[in-house]
Amino acid sequence: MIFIARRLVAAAVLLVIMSGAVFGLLYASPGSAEQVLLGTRVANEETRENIRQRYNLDEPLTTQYWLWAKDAVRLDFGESIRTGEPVLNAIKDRAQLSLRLGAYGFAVAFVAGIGLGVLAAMRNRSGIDRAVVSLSVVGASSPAFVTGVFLLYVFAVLLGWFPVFGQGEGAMDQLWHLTLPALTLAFGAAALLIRFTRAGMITALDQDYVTFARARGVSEGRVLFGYALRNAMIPVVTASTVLLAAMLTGAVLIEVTFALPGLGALLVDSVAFKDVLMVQGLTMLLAAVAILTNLLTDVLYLFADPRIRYTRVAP
Amino acid sequence: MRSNVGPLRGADGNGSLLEAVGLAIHSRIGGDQRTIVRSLDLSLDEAETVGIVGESGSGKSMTARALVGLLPSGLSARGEVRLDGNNILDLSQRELGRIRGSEVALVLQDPFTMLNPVTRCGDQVADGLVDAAGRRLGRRARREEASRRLAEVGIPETVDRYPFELSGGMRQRVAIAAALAGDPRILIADEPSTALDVTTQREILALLKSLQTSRSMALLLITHDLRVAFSTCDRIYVLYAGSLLEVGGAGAVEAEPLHPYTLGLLLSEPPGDRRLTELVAIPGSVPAADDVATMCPLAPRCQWAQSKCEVSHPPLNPVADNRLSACLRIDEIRAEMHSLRHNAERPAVVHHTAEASVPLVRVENLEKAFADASRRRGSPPVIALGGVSITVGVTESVGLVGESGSGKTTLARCLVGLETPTAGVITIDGVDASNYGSLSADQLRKLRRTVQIVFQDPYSSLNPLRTVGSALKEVLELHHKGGRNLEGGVAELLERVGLAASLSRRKPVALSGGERQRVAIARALAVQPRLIICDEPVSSLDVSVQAQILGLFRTLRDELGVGYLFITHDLAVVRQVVERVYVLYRGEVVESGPVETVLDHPQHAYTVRLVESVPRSASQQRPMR
Repeated sequence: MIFIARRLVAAAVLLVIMSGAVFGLLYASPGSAEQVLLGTRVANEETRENIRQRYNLDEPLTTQYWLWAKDAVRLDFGESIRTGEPVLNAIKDRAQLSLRLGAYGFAVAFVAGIGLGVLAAMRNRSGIDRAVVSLSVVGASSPAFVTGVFLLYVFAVLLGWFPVFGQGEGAMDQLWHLTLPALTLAFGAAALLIRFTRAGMITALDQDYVTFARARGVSEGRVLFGYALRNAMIPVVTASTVLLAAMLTGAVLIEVTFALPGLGALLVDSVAFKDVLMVQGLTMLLAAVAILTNLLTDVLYLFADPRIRYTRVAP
Repeated sequence: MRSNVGPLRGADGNGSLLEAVGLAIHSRIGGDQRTIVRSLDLSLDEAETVGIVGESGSGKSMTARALVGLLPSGLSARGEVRLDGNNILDLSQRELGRIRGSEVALVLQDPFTMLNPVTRCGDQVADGLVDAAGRRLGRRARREEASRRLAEVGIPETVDRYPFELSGGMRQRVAIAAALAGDPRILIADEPSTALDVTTQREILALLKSLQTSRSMALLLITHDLRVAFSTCDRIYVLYAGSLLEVGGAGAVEAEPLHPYTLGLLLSEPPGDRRLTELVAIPGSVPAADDVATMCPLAPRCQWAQSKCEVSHPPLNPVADNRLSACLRIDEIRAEMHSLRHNAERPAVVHHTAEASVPLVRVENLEKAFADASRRRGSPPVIALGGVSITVGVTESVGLVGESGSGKTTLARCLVGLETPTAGVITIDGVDASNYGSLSADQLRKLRRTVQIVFQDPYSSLNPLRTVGSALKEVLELHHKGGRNLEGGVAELLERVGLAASLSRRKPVALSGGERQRVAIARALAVQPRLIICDEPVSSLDVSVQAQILGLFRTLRDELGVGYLFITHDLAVVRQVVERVYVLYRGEVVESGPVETVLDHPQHAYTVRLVESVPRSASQQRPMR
């Protein structure tokens, strides 16, 4: 419990530091803060005065940050410079799609990566093993937009099994629309998981505890899953939560390739239009997701490895 | 206990429980086929205890694996292993899975790697449990049965513990309970006590023996230690370089070994109850099976070898009642072997020449505490040494005996400055060596020339990238020894430790364990020290090699007058080398005095336990619990 409490404190500290950096984006952008916040509006004395009032630009910097942070805690990041829409609403609209895509992609990557990794390890040095390893090399080295375009061309254009773009209506239709993007997203991630799982399984299958389990007649299924995979999963847990964070937040290229209006697409647009308030809101959200998944990793570790729960290093 | 069964066939005459006929094991790496076991016949009867005795490289562990159909990948077995009318070697893994656990189970050597680190002990025991119909038990029944099984091995409280929370001995007990979960008729135990402390070793062997009796189960014990085999087994198979050299009843083999190798092995293991005049060792080291395929495997190392020993591989022949030996000359040399043993076992008188002399090393109230890295700040530190005082006189040889965790290695590391003591004073040859960090370069140099150290593991104490010659040259240069002729200095050092000068061009990887330890000793000798601290210098070596190194220590002492602080857990070893001994227990000296007094008349309860745990043959042994 102390362990989790310590991690929570660390996560909170990290979040505060991140918020400072995100707040600084306003001043790091080219041009004065006033200019940036004006955007494309007409720059007369009245609008300038309005902006200064609204965003407390006349206050000292620390006060400005404090006022900004107070709003940010309530998830109020102001209004988009571009559309005037509250940042939170814009993010909410887009987040649903990105979350679905990320979760779908992660589920595919997790099942395929671990399944193929275990299979390759069990058939180590066979044809199957080589095929799986080759697939993972291709997966790890193909940029997402190449994979995306390739899948689109084969399955949507040539075969016509899946739609070319859009997000669909209703649960099944949406799933159908999201399948190709999710597969694209999963391809690279699965490659990584295959490698971690395969290496972990090969090591575990060679351990004394696996030999000893077999030597006393423990069933093969239990040996594979209860003994070998259970131990091989410990490094995989770390890898997969990092992947989860990346998938929830970093599907930019895939959203663009498949013309999906997700968070990634929103981020790209906002950066292009110098919509600093929107960028602040998005960055804060992504940072929070990254920090939370790291916290999740630590907690999962506790369950995966009892030794961490009672760490005691010998002198 | 001991039955008068024949070496090859059961007493009932109608076949054995487990029988291997012509079992051969080969490894194939790339296109290169190597022999691990040449051809082995073995039988095991109901409720019988049989030992396979051999050094590393003999093929004993792979034999154990082959008997349960669990050879590592790359290894294959031929021949027959008969169990219940089946040939184990022909069965599929699925069929083997049904036999393992219920008919035969194997316990491996290392309790620290044998258990699943992320699963509770009770669950691991329960994994092997099945009900009468062969199905997995329900949740509650599993837990109850697992507790009962753990109670059978004396540790019912571990059912909800993880392996890493337990000591080595307790883990070995959990492993034994797990292996017995399916109530096998045969238990194969591969060096079940080797990785454990001496007192725990004895407990584990006693436990195995009592389980074997109470379950009337057959036990096949694989060991490198003849004394362990004598004290536990009914019959013994002696395996060497993949070939059986001798088979016979334990008592008969102990009374008179009928193969020079068995005799050599017996004499290589120093007795715990006396110091020997001369340590008889088998020269050289264990060869690969293929290198001795067309001769008697022992011929290159045997003092009785003749040309007829080197022309063909001798078969096992009956040489006496229920005795088999693969020695061609056994009839001719039997009397000679007998007198060699008789002479070799004569006790020597320990000369306490140096006891009254000036102390070279004086340690007073030494304390060392380690902060527990994982705990929160402010938690109590781990006490490794709690006020230890010892002295070592000039040219004196002193033993420091204790189990792992007793603080003996910490003391050694403090003496050479690898650790800085928390409190207390170390004086070496008049220099205050309590804190190496505060010494001047001159003082340090003086200390290094006075005290050197030889570590336990010769595999990690030599730099794998440097040749033996350059490692030795470096020391000679650093201390301006050996003058201009460094090459000559290196050759002289190697010769001193019984190695050929040509070895200086080799890297450690091309050396055997014994050769590496000799190089480590040569490196310590390079500065002509007055005291060498030896931290378990022979415990990672094979028995026959161990005797060579102990012999070397004695020779160096006689020739150079160097003293030792000899740190070991092995009472038999320490008895052969030192005059005085300190017994260390949990960071404190509990007993000290002349070695023969302490070992023959131990006063402290812990020393008594240590002395009792030295394996003895059945004839000498006090009854086991």
